[in-house]
Amino acid sequence: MALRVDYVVRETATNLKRNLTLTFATVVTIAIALTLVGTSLLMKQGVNRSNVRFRGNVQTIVYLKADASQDQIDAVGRGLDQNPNVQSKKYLNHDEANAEFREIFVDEPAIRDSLTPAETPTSYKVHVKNASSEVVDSLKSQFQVMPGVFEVMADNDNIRRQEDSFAKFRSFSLLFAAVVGATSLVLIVNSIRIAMFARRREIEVMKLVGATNWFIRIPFMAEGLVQGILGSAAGIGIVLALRAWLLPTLVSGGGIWAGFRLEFTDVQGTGIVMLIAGAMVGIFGSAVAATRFLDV
Amino acid sequence: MIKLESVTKVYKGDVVALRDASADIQKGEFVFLVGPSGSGKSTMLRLLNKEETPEHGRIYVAGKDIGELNQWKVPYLRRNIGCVFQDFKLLTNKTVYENVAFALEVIGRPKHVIKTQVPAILELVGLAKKMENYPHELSGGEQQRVSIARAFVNRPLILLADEPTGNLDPTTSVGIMRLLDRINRTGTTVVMATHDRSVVDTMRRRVIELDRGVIVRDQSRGVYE
Repeated sequence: MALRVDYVVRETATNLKRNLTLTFATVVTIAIALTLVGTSLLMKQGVNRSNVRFRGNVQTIVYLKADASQDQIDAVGRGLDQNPNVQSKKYLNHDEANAEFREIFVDEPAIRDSLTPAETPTSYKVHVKNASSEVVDSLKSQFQVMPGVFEVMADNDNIRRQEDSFAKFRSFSLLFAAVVGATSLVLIVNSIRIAMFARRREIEVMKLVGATNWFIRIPFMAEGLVQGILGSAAGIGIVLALRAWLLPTLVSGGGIWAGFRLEFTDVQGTGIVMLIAGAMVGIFGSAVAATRFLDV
Repeated sequence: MIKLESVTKVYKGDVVALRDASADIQKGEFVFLVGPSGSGKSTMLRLLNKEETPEHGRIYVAGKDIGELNQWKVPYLRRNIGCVFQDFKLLTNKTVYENVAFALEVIGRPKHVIKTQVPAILELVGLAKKMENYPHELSGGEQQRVSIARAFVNRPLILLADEPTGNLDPTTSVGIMRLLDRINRTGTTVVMATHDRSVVDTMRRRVIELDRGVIVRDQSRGVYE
């Protein structure tokens, strides 16, 4: 059956205008829920990105000088093998180290392209048996002085504190997002219900003259979809604004935010997730409402 | 065209609206359903439209057993059945033209079809000059003409009318009955529930009388009594 686009657009616009206050409330609620979801996702990504070097339970990294000789490199490797506190080690050659560097600065071409693989320091990633700060400190003092070693970086308490508090914040905000998300679903169902109630005479006539249920339903579902998309667009706007204005202040303030990095790629991916989530909530809510209240 | 076989309809609370009703209506017939309020006239119309489903019995419309009809096919059944009501059921925020066009629009008719058919049907019901008026600017009789135009614009096989003259004065009623008669002469089967004695007695068409849900009389060329 031909469902004309101009018909759907016209009816959807009428419904949205008729219910302006409720439309606004729905859009705002969806925006809040999705902002919370988006922030939680981005926090995880940001923590991951800032701690990319320590991924895979690595507690200590021995950076070698770019011009370290193979003998010096092997000597450090042997030293690590002989150390009773070292569980395992992994050597990152120039290419691998450069790839990791590029991952950290994915969206900052100036920094990203500043090092060629040959210039990127190679390193040993070390998994320590008993990762207490004393063990890590002793490793640091032992290897810092070896020839060919540039720097020994330890996974300090800060990283773990950062991961812990961000994880807590994430679980809290995801829980909160679930509650607000459920609220927005109820609001969508209600706004569709009111729209259908306002148009019950039209719907009655439509059914009498033989309009199919889908024909009646689609403008209402489009209404829910528009609300969902507007809400997620607003949520994406809020997330972008937070990243642009709030994040630099937090990061420069240090503390658990020290080293927190969020690249545009992360925000882009999260934005797409938010948009899809908003659209799904809108379509699902309005489809439920339209089906439930269509029975004239 | 329409066939009822031992149809029984019971509403909630054991209210029997129709009991063991059987009737056979041929294509092109004009049938009056008469009887006091609550005798089952409207129920019978609603059953034909599949707005209600019977507890027992079978109903055939245009040769099809509508009890066997899938729910999603009901809209297509209704496209063959025009409906006219006592309260017109016009959309107050739409003009006469839009009210009639709406019926074609929601069943997906293309624009150019709507543009030719709507003025033609409004011409037929004598409202060509009031196309841009809103329902509240029309008299009761004119509003009923709009509703008949809407019911007939899709050229249905059957026209169901539930007390179409119930809200109208006798003179206006005559005009509406003439219109329904004209529609009937195009081959459309008309089934009309009514309380209007003079209308039934003037037309002298088939009369089916209901009393407390039972068909007590089925008479061709009958009167109201």
